[in-house]
Amino acid sequence: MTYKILPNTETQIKYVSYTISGVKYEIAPSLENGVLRHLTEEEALAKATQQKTWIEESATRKLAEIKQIRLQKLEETDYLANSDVTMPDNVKTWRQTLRDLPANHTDEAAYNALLARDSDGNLTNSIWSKP
Amino acid sequence: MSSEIKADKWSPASGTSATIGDSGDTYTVPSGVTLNTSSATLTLPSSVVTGQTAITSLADTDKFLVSDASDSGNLKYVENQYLGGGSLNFITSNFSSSNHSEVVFDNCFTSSYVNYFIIGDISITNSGDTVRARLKNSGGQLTGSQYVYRFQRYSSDSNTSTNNTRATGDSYFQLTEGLNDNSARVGYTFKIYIFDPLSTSKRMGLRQESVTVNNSAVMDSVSGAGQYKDQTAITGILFYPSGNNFSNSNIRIYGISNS
Repeated sequence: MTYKILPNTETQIKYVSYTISGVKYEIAPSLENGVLRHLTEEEALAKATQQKTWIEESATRKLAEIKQIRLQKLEETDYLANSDVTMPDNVKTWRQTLRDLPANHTDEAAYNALLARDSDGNLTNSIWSKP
Repeated sequence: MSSEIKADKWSPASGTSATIGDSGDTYTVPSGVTLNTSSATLTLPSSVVTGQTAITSLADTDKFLVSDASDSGNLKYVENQYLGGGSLNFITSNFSSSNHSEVVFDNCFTSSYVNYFIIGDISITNSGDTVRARLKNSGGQLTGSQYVYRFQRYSSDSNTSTNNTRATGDSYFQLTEGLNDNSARVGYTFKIYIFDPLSTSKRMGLRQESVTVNNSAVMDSVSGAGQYKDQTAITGILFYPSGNNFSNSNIRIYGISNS
């Protein structure tokens, strides 16, 4: 059965599941005009498809976030490229390392390592630290 | 036995107070009689108000008692249509603290108002998910690639404002980037203006100002706008996450008075 109404539990009320290619997606109810209701089979298919796509695009989103962070880091040292200052060699090397991040980190596990943060939200991978 | 008292004045037999009748008695003042208390102190029971039938909506010609300051404080009435009132008129709301996959408002946009104000907050179940909005008309959800939007995030941990998100032909409005799932931090707190959704000759507009907490637990100030390119009468709106579910939502919709 692809579409199934799940029994209520302490934490899940009016859930349904929809299975696509052997993967079961559990979907919470719709809050429609103040009332929680089960999704219909058609709605559950749409939500499960959306969820499937969202998961499949996870690595792409993480790479985009890495590029965004990289842009900020590069911008912070762009002033060192001005003609009236000299960019230290270690900063040149660091900036090149940042530029090479997508080429040298190519899977989601590597992206996760780059995006690791502490409990305060600070990036913990040393690659982001300016020498 | 009936009798009639004829006297020009009643006074207490002793002291300064007296009583008329006993509990359960009814005294009737007939039609045509004038009971003039204009110079006296008249104490009415609270049941004059609380004993009446309550109404839950007001017609334009419903009346309120007022003391007219421009006419020696004489009692007059004013009709509801002449009260100043607020510019925001509550229409509907949705609240849930159990997981839900979307929040749907049907028929919240009507001919009663041209523009609308939506205020609320949403928390998500999984960090990294974004919040989207999609419009509805009489035929259901509008899923075509007609949504144009852009928003800019100003991060609390950076001076840069280069965090832009935009699209010119999505099938939804993206309202946030990836959010934090901590319900105390509240991923998305927002106010949204909706401009003229019922027009069939102009694009509907959207303007949002919001507070978001991203998946790295950093607070952002967000400013954004959107348009729905197809000119169709939009009657409803729904909010939903890019993946997974909302864990909590509190959303209220108001119509904005034209005057």
